[in-house]
Amino acid sequence: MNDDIFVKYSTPEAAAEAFYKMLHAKDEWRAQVREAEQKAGLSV
Amino acid sequence: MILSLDKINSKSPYRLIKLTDLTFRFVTDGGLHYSLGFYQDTLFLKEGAYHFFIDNAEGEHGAHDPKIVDVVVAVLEEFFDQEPSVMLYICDPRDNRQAARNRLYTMWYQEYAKSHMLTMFCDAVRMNDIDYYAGILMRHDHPKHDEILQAFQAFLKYFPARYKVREK
Repeated sequence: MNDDIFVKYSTPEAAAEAFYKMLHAKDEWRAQVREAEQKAGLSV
Repeated sequence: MILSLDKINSKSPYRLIKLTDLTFRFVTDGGLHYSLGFYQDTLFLKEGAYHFFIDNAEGEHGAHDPKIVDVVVAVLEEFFDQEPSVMLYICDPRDNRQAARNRLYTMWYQEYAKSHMLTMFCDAVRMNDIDYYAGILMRHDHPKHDEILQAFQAFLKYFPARYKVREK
């Protein structure tokens, strides 16, 4: 497997942590969206 | 990566506005405010992979609106017209509707993938008695196609049994 493109995990636990972070990436994206909406003066 | 708002709007039934280079917002005929776009992944690939999200600010499901699918298709077309990229998604499990979301997204993405020469793979990952649904889309001609697909499949199979919810 190509080390240049994949993030390597030394253990299954480390890979599981990565998946856990992926699950919560939407929260980070939502925060970016809210910030951009505020800057643009948009609200629901 | 920067997605062209003009190109997306030329195909989208709803007029989108740009929030960031990779995120857009629109309002449906029913008055619901949606944001959709991409967030760069650094957990699976070192570069060239993005998580796709769509979010309804009101948190309401609303009436069935086929125009929303057409908006998603317009955004995905612009995304896959760019440099070879990988799209990742995990169905949001927080309201226990992840299986329904997976069925909906699978229907959207499979239809889109078939007509746009894309590979789609999705699978359920069971951890702590909860099923999570994760998927990947990329163009057939992605230069690392086989390697990435195998790595994603291995990634999903690698760890679930070992995962334990952390104490907060």
